[in-house]
Amino acid sequence: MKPSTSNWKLHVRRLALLMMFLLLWEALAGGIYPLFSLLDPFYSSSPSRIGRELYILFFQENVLKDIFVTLGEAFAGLILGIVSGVALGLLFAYSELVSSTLEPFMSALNSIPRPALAPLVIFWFGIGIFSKIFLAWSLAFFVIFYNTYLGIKSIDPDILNIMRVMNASRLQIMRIVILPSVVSWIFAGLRLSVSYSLIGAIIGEFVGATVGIGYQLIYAEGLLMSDRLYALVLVVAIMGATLVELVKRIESRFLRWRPEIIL
Amino acid sequence: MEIRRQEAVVMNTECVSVEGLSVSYLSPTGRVDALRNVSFKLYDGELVTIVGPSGCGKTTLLNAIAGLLNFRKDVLMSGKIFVKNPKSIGYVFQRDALLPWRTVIENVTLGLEVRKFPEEKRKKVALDLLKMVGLEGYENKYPHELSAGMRQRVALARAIAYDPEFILMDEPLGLLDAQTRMALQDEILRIHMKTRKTILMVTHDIAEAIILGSRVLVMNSRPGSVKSEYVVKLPKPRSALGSRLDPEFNRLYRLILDDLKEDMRMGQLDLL
Ligand SMILES: Nc1ncnc2c1ncn2[C@@H]1O[C@H](COP(=O)(O)OP(=O)(O)OP(=O)(O)O)[C@@H](O)[C@H]1O
Ligand SMILES: [Mg+2]
Repeated sequence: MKPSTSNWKLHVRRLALLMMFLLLWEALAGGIYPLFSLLDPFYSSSPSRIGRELYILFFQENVLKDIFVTLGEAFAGLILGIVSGVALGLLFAYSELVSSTLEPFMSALNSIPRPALAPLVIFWFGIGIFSKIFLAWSLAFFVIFYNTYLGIKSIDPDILNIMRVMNASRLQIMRIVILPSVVSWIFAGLRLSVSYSLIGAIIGEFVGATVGIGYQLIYAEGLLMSDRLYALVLVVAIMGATLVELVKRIESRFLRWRPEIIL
Repeated sequence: MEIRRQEAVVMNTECVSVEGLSVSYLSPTGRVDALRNVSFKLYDGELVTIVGPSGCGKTTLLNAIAGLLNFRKDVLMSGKIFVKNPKSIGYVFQRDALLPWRTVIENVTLGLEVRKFPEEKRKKVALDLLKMVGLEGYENKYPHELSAGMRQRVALARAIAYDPEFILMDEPLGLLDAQTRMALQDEILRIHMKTRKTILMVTHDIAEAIILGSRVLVMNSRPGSVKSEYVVKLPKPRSALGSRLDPEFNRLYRLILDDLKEDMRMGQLDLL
């Protein structure tokens, strides 16, 4: 924890840096004094142009709808990924037969680059939301699966031993030892799987969709609307950052028992 | 004051008996014989200590008695182990084995929780025990917020909390400073006097083995077995400090030290 007195100074420093960057960008793109323009705003855009484009996107073109569709797809994929990843992770941990048989197949499947898979997925599920949910799932699932499986494998054997000495039933061992450590490993993988599921949804929208941020990006590219591309990238960046921040908050609430690791 | 003379307690019921126990670990790097032909008995209400060089199989022996090696495929066991009430064992592990996601009090109440005791009762027992091991006020801390010695004391409280008949202790005071250690030795003596639990305790500290044990088993190394046994005839009730001043203490200390030294020399010859 940092002392809060130095906090506002930090914020001021960050804000000042951001302002300088934006001002320089605006100036170089000729937005302050047109004769002084080193960059071609068609390629470089500029903060004011992006601002105008954001206004159009939000108040005339209802980009909120696209944001919610993409978020919804990513979220659905994430939830399915957590449920199925934990289930299979538990199965792998409990059954030597299953894990030793399936292990190579799992890593083979996981090594498929998802963009390569996307056209096939669209072919299977159509251009609606299900293909995007599938792609988001296909990324989130493996992160959660591996975290669950390896997490259970790395439980301190003496903790299981103490439970056995106390005559705990299998169910009690599950509730008191396995599940709490699985939860902590899920959280460890959650930040990654949240970003991954967003990536999955957007890849799906690139390949075939009628709505969503990925669709909007492809659309703007097709019409050479460079300012809009910048604006949309900004929107996606904010979406991703917000989600990761949200996960961090939940994480620190759940993982209070963990030592803070300082490298 | 409640002072019962140990002599008055009849000690004839076997609590644990180990007969010709041999244990080997099968690891990818080869076979390790950890114990060979270990035999001894523990009677109800006894506190017996074990000393022996590092790696001689003390932890292995305790694990075998606790039934923890039965779960493992990489362990070869032969011989007989009898435990009177295998469902009522307490175990203080060498490494504390606290559940890191549980607070101190939640760790101490673990055994009571497994036995489905009501919440208030669990809490009361745990708070009393934490006070006893000198950790009052730490109940809501997490293990990573404690020192190694404090964690050992939590593990000790946890093993006693659910009132098992027979307690295994693997160097439970190994990481404590001299004063805290003596205080807890007295505490263990007091608990033992009061509850008459059967306790088998491993320690690296010869003095501790003599102060606490009514018998001391000395093990030798590679593969471990019980080399000699000493009956400790110190007056009761004992105290950590009082016992050290007794001539009997010094006599036993010498004998045990010689035993261990001899084993070391043989170990060195072995290497040549
Ligand atoms: N899981 C294992 N696999 C293979 N070998 C093992 C395993 N556990 C212990 N051993 C071996 O068994 C022997 C006895 O180990 P053990 O832990 O019982 O010793 P110890 O007397 O408790 O030592 P210490 O006093 O250092 O704790 C050692 O030589 C060790 O290398
Ligand atoms: Mg040991």
